[in-house]
Amino acid sequence: MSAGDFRRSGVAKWSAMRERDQAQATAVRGSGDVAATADDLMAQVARGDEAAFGQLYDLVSGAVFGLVRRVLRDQAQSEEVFQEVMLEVWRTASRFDADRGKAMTWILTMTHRRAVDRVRSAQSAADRDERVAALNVPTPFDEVVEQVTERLEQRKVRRCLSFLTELQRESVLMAYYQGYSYPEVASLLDVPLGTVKTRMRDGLIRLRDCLGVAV
Amino acid sequence: MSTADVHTLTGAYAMNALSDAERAEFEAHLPHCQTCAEEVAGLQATAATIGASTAEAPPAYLRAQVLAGVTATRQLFPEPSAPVAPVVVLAKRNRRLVQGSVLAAAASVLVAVVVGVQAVQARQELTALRESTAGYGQVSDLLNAPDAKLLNDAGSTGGRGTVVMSPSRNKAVFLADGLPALPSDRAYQLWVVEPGGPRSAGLLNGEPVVADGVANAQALALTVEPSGGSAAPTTTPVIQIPMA
Repeated sequence: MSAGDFRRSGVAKWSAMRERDQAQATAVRGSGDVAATADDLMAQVARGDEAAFGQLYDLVSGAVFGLVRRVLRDQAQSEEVFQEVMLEVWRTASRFDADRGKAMTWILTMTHRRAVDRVRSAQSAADRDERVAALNVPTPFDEVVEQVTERLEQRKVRRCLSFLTELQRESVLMAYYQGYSYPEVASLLDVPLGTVKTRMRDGLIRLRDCLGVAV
Repeated sequence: MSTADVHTLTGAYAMNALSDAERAEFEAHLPHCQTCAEEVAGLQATAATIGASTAEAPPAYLRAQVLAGVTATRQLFPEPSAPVAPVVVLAKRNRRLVQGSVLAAAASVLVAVVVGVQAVQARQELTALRESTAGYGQVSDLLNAPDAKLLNDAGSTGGRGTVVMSPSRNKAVFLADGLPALPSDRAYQLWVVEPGGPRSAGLLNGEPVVADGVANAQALALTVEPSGGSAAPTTTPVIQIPMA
């Protein structure tokens, strides 16, 4: 076999291998699409992979938008904050540390923070009175129940919320879904600051244990 | 505020229900309190579970807007506080930098960008390196291209290949790191894999390899060849980095 023959056969072999590798890669990627978790995708997004970000968007945008909507109510503001959050996920993806928790938690913690910041910003000051007024009508828990469709995890959340004392539940829901600070919650519910602080903590702990949340 | 008080703030903290001042105070406390940090992680995960239960699909047109925003948004470098393994690499590159090789300096930046940042006192070092290479030739030009993309892949025999490519510059820079040493009659050769087949981009000599005309490239591939290089690859690539 001449060097040229060797080279050509080498190339042919290599091309064949390359095709096979690519087919395998596609197969893996194909099945990966179905199973890819937010955690898998975050690692790729952190490396600047826009396609992975597209997949991540499809995976988490419902939860992100739903949470923003729940805290802010207003559709236009929600869309704005939603976009900010999604871009923030992209921009700061390298800061996500898989050893310290799940990607979904990281994303929704950021989402909630942004939504709450917006609630508390001057722009929202105007409708603050409105929110306080609205609070007197339906209890937050009823609102949750009313908006929740019958998905399994939602049923589970609802069931676990029902195991909280009323004060725990109200403290948690007012803080989390309505963006009130704990002093605001204390004043609205007319209970001491220290009590609200403690109820937020033991309420969340009870939820954690009931939901079987893994970090 | 007493320490006991700080501990009870985990719930309010996990739900962003603290004032900015208390939040700052609590965050200052967190690194010193392992149990608080663990509790916060669990409570944040719990809050996220509640948060996820109100899912609502965003209007469809937002997807295109967000993805367009992504294309125009530069990502943050990783925090410099993480593990320290790549320090050696950086130190080695720094020695070359002192020797005055512009390409090696750019390589330091590249290495720092890819791995070093997760290490070291990286931030100042990175800034210094970037400044020291600013304006030098095509490598740093490529590194500074707004559409520069970082791709990398582990080599099948060890080490790692990294590519910075810029569609607008139609160029890619390839840098290998930690590849196994080869016998003296062998060399690593880089190939631009195009629809028509692989085209040589040159031999690796410890410096970054610049490949031009990569607009249609499907991948960069690295093979082991006779020391003078081959006209076409004769072995299976040890590194293949898809670019399409």
